Amino acid sequence: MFETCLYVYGIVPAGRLEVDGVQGLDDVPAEGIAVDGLEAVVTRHPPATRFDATEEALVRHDAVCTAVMRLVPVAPARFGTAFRDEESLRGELANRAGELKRILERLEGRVELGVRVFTSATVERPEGAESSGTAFLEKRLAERQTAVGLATAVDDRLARLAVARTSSVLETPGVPLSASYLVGRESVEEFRAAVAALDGEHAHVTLICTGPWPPYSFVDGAE
Amino acid sequence: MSDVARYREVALVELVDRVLAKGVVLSGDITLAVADVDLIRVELRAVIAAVVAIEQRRLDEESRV
Repeated sequence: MFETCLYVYGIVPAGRLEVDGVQGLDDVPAEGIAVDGLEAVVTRHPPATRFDATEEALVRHDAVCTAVMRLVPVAPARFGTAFRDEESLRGELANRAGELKRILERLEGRVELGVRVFTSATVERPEGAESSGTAFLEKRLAERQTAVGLATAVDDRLARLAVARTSSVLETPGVPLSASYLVGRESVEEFRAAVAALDGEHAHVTLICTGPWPPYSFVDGAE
Repeated sequence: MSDVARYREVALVELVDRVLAKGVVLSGDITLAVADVDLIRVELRAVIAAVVAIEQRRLDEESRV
């Protein structure tokens, strides 16, 4: 048998997928490999292929998951995982079957939406003798509290329309909130409308909603 | 930067962030070296910083109007 390695894009419930016409890395057509009621979406490559994380490769990985997501629930894999042969892949899927099935059940009919909030508020370090370092620090602290308050308010409101969320507050300066929400397909439009409404309510702040994404942020099966 | 261009830029950052740092981690025979991922994430942070800077400049300009 021709030796190949198998690059994995994601895991779906077995027998519900048609991947005809979906092309993966290096334009290789995707196929499914079924094990224990699960199916891995893969492409075959020569042994010892290096999977470099170029922008094109990352976009392609996501495109495969997105194409699959339109048809069936998918647990997208993190970029860069390949197996030396089918046996090795089957072994891993068999070991993880229970966990992966639980994850997929939770993802049925749901998608991930991303929200980033940008603010313009940045306090300049004051020049001149009258402004003390303490005043500067107090201003910075007040600004931080405002940003945290805004992020929490936005996050709480959007979370009401979601099944689950993962959010990070003030991880990047100028971005008070960077969050992901798991949303039922029927609620996507309502969710987008809520983001647009929040964007309108807050001056000096921009909210950008991205997606629907394959649910990368909601594949933790540790329950 | 137009709204569409800005959306694309943010969406690309969000994509890279998700594909590299989230998703199911399978124990494969070949996995992307951690050093590579760290390097890409450093570059990614630079992209985010650039997007934030553009966004802040736009907001500042709007608030002056």
